[in-house]
Amino acid sequence: MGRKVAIVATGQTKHTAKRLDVNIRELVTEAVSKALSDADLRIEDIDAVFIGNMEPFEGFMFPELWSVEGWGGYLKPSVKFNTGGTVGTTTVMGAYYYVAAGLYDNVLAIGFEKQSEGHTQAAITTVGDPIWERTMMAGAVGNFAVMASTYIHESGATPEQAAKVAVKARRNACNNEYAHLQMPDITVEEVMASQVLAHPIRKLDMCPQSDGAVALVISEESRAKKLARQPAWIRAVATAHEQQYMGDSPKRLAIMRSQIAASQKVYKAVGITNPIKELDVAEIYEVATYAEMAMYENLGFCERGRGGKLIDEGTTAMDGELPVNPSGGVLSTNPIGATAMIRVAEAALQVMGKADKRQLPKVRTALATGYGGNAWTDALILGAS
Amino acid sequence: MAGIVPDQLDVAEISARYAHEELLYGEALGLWKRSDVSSVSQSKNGAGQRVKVNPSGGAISGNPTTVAGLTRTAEVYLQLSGRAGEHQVKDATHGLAHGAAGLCGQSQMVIVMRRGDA
Repeated sequence: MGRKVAIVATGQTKHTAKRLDVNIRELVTEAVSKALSDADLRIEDIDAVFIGNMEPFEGFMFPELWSVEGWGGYLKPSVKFNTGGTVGTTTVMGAYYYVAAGLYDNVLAIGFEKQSEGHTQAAITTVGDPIWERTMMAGAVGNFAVMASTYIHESGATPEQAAKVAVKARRNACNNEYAHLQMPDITVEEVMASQVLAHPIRKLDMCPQSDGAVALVISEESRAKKLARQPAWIRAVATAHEQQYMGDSPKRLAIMRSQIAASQKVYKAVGITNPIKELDVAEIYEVATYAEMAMYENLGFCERGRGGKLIDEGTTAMDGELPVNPSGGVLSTNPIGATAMIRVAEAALQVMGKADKRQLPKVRTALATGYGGNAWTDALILGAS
Repeated sequence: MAGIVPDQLDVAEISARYAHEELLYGEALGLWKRSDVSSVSQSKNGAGQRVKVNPSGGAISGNPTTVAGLTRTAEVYLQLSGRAGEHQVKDATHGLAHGAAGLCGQSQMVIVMRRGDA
């Protein structure tokens, strides 16, 4: 498996709908500066930089080329990642592989998106099959509406259960200074009365579009122990893809085979057999409320068809058996190229005991996921040892 | 890193999409000096230089953009394994594959390869 590797520092911007006060270079600089100062490092101490972004969403090529001074890549080895919803987790995994292999000792992993400069939904629409899918699954909302319909059909989940997911996310976000949507007074009734975007998805069932950036310092064992009081050790990583075409399997969107494959692989790698008991926290890539419930089932948190019950019983609330997304999750914050890395950063903060007002007691083992299109999943297990 | 000097290279596949880029990148890669550019540009495959540059025809002869760097790498592999067919460089044991991105070549990658028995 190579050398032991850990996340030793994190930095995030305050995520919001439009950061008109900064350009991309300045936005990324904010996150990178925070991460470096968190580890008391200077950019000269960094051997290589791994950067994630989905440039179709900004609508122009190579934003990382002309923002290089902002992310510290000048004349350093660097690799860019561009894998859709999973870009943030894939970037972390790429950085992990290089450090584990012994090529670099201290590296930066960065994710950013400035969606206010482009048209994300137009770009996402091109993901679908041009004949059969694009016209009825425009944008992320169209895709996840089909997913939600399938999940409701398979599981019997209700709009009220979905609304409870939205309430959990936006209230948790109030404890996260970086979160985009903080709604302390949100109610189930308000979610269920919000505008229908594409049946059954209502406005408050869906994630926002955000501008934001995140950066992590990732180090090999001896450096990690010096740089952080409690490093967040990367214990296992996995990625899995399945076919994107939706017409082949009617249940495919509810039974996310890539979620099952990637999560089972990391569980097996660290010896987890009962994730709801053995994980202390999960930061998952839930793009819509219904998706979170489907993911509970596919990540093995409960039996099939019981995702809604987990929400009803409060199992995934802050005081539940397995808190899911104490940060507020994707439903509260979604700068896409950064979003999956924010899951890793938040899981790391929990392990490091630095999650501030959203800190859970005694986090030893954490799961972070990324999800792309409706077809591919990254999963990582972070640990206190 | 690889512990070799440019003079040891038998073959170099350079990601040059424009004629001037091959001259510019070859110089930056240490394959020739600026003062030699004129003679290099008038010779076939850098005659007078030991290293043969872009025997495949290079990106300037075929350029599916994001594939160019990987094609260069595959071509050097074919050369070092003696399977480059009619464009085989005789007894090639050391090769360099190069990739570039950005309209002015802001991002550069270099891979140096050696035949297993060399």
